[in-house]
Amino acid sequence: MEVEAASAEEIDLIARYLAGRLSETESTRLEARVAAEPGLYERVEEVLRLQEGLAVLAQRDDLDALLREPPWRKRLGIWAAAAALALAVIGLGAWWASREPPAGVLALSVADLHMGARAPTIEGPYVFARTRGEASVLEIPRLNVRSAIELKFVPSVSSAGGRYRLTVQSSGAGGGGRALVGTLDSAAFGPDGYVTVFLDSAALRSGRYDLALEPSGSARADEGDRFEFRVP
Amino acid sequence: MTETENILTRDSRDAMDDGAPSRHIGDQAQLSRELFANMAGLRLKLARVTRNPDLAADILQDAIVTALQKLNAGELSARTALDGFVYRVALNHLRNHQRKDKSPLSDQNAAAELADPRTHCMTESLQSAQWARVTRELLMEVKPVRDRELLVRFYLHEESKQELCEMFGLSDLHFNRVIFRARERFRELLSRRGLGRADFLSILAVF
Repeated sequence: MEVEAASAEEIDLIARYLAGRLSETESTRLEARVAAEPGLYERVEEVLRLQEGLAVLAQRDDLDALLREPPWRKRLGIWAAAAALALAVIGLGAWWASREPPAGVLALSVADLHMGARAPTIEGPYVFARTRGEASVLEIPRLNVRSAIELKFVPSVSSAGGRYRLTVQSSGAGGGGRALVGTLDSAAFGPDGYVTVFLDSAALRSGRYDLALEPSGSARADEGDRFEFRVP
Repeated sequence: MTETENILTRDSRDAMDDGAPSRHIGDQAQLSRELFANMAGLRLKLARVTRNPDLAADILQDAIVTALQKLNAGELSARTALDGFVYRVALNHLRNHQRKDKSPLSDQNAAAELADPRTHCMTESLQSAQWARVTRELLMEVKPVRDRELLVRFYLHEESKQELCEMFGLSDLHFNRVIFRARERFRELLSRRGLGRADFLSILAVF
């Protein structure tokens, strides 16, 4: 590093001399050094030869081409940037899909949603029950104000412990991946005969959502109810 | 007769006029030729500054003759001192010409009459062409392209280190590295092409 710096300083001194930018004293001192220091004039000569080489290239109009990035390299740069961006998007998508559900998206009460000091607006209730025939998809409007959405379920399967696990997933509509929105493992029948859960509206975007209500502790994936809603 | 032969003839005549022993004439002629060849970079720089290749050759030759006279008179003792002395004298000429070149023009019309230095030195010598080839090779190896531009602006356009560091947003360290490595590589390439200084020195070992 020190050799580099000392050599570069010397080259700079020589270049300034050759450009006529040294003072009279400095010039005289350098000329005296050249006469006294074996090898210094060779280094001056090298600078001069490099200058001459560049001057010839400039005369031939060859320098411009040498100072331009080759087109293929430019294209490569653009492709590399595009590939990096694509990888970043894919990575972000994968992270989004696999991330832990945000705490407090689903709760048994409005208070458990931790939506701030002010009492939140309650939207709903929306009732989900298995019915015969073709069921239409329930629509929950997109809310301008953050609210607690009240979801009420009528389970078709009884749970031994009286507890149910609710899982909410976005179903990939609108170009996004399938992602877990939230899960709650201790939902139970309330005095009104429904299993009631509150959902933070801030967790919802436009798209379709799948709800799975299963008895807590059940290992069977097909045991339980599947519902669906969408947000326009 | 070539330019070098002309110079050698004159040099030999000068040496004889000075009463140097005849057995030295051949040696001194060869030494003169080697010095002239080794300082080709300086000669071509002088040619660009004076816009006159013949004048540049004369300046360098005069410096060589003066140095040889000093060597004969015992004022210069070592071979290395001879190199340095010639270079010092020639550089001094270069500085004087640069100083003159920068003096303001008294006649505004004179600027139009001045020869364009680029066209005046258009005739490439074989050496210039060889150095240009090596320089091109060097530039093509330098990455990124910004560092090539740095070299061109520093060496050819003679922009200062400080200006360039500010313009390119470079640290001293980065600048030094680019300049140093380019010089080292240039030296290596010259040597590999048989254009390095060592190639001449091996001939001079007899002195």
